[in-house]
Amino acid sequence: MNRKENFTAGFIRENPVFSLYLGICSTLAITTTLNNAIGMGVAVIAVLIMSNVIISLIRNITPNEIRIPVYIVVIATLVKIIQMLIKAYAASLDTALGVFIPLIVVNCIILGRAESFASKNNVFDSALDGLGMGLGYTCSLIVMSVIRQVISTGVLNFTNPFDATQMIFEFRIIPEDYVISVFNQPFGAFVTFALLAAALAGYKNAKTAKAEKKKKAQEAAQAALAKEAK
Amino acid sequence: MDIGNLFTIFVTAVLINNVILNQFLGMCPFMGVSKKSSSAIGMGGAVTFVIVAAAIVTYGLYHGVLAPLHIEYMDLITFILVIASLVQLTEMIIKKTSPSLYKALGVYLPLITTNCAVLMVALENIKQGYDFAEMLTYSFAIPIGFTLVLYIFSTIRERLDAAKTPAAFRGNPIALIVAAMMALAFSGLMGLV
Amino acid sequence: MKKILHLTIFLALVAAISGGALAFANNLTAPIIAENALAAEKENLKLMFPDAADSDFQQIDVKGNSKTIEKIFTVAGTETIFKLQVTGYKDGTSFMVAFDESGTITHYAVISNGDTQGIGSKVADDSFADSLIGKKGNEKLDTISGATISSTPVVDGINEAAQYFADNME
Repeated sequence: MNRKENFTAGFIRENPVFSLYLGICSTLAITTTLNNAIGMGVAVIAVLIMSNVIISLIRNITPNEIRIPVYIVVIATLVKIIQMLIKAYAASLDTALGVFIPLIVVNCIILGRAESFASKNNVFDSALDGLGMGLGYTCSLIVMSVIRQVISTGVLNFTNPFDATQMIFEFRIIPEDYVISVFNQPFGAFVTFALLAAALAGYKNAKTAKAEKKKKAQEAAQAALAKEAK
Repeated sequence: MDIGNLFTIFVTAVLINNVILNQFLGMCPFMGVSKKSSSAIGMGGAVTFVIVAAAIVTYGLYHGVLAPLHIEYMDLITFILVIASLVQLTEMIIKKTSPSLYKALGVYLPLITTNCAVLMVALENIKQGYDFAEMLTYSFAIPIGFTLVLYIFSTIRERLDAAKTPAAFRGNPIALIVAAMMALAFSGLMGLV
Repeated sequence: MKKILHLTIFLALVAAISGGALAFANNLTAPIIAENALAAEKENLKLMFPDAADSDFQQIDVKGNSKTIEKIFTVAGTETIFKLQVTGYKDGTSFMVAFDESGTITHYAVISNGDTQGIGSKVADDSFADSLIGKKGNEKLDTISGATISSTPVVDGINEAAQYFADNME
């Protein structure tokens, strides 16, 4: 797979959340506001890139039998450092995301990419792969939390994570009397996720059907040509 | 030992703050193993063993080693390594005692390591400052809630496979809609205690 | 045998490097985290006593090993404020209660409450606070029906604080 294909795979074709169903615990739990989505997304991108780089650097000296524990220790260290940084500089994000920051350690995306990509490729490609997957994950989080926040509160806002009192933008999209607040709750999380996953599956089905139709048409044309040549 | 308090912790963890339907943890096996009710029970049993064992060991490690030495920041690394070793142990035990269950669980058995619920229980026991009895209650209650929901879900899913679903919803999306209904039902239990 | 030794040494080395990195990060961030907590504390104290100046609050050490009593402050020498952390849903409730010299509750404020919106968060409501203020801290206080998971630990916590107050401060 060339670099560009691998980078864009994380967005639609191999979307880690809605297509591969990795990292869904945090997706369902925190996507109640845009702030949470962007905060979590940035944390995961940081951990993904750094873990991919480190694991790629040590891939040749790591004995094969203990590679999984070694990857786990690397990822756990990075996550703990990120947690300490968030607690110190963005305390509002820490309160909002809670236990899901340390749970980034067991986010299947990170260990999965380390095992399947970073352990076999050079540092630059691994870093790029981390960025691509991380951005795909973040975009999925943003889409889901925008939908949930707008439907359940009617407002779309974003506050500065480093200074919780500063609101960067705020729009009211649905009047307060018409909001469906159940979208803040587990029911809304599951429903939004299911609809987005179905939409992605439907889109991919349509694309495959179109490609198959094209292929069949080409084969038919070739068969017709071959027949004429006889 | 305050039985009332322990009972409250138990009921809250199993029904009201249910680990799958309310806290969204343990979703990977929820999506992957819930297709047959027999493997759901097996998975529930394995997860119960891992969670309780991991909770006891991590609790002991934290209060016995990490806190006295003031290296609480090593909690994440030590907890996850303990969990990984326990899962290896569970795998070996299941392989020896029930090869059919081993085959049925497949790749989801080593994936218990990355099951959010296990790490969450270990971290929560510390964060909530539970004493030993409360820790044991909580650590049993969470996987019981997990197994309960997993079993109910698998019985529904067995029937779902026979139903006619639109192509885009087939498989996981329709299963998630069912989970949404279950979450709504369970949220009605909120005022129970 | 040699292979196992090699593997163990490698893993130990990785763990040691990780430990070192974490210790370094901890040294950098722990002071800032403590500062944030202190600033948040002052904010919370001002919730209950908006007219008091920063210097009116004095922190007192907590004697003994209480799981619920986190901190004790006095304000202007008259009232004693207990900061308590009790269990409940999810993260439980963190709240403050103030007694005057006779052990009567004068103020009550909830700092954080991990409960789902609606039922559990009634411990933060004014009506609950009103039902507490004026009663003696070691009386049997009313819980909120339908929200006993949150309100019972709060009420028990207040009783415990009142007991501590009676034992140690009168």
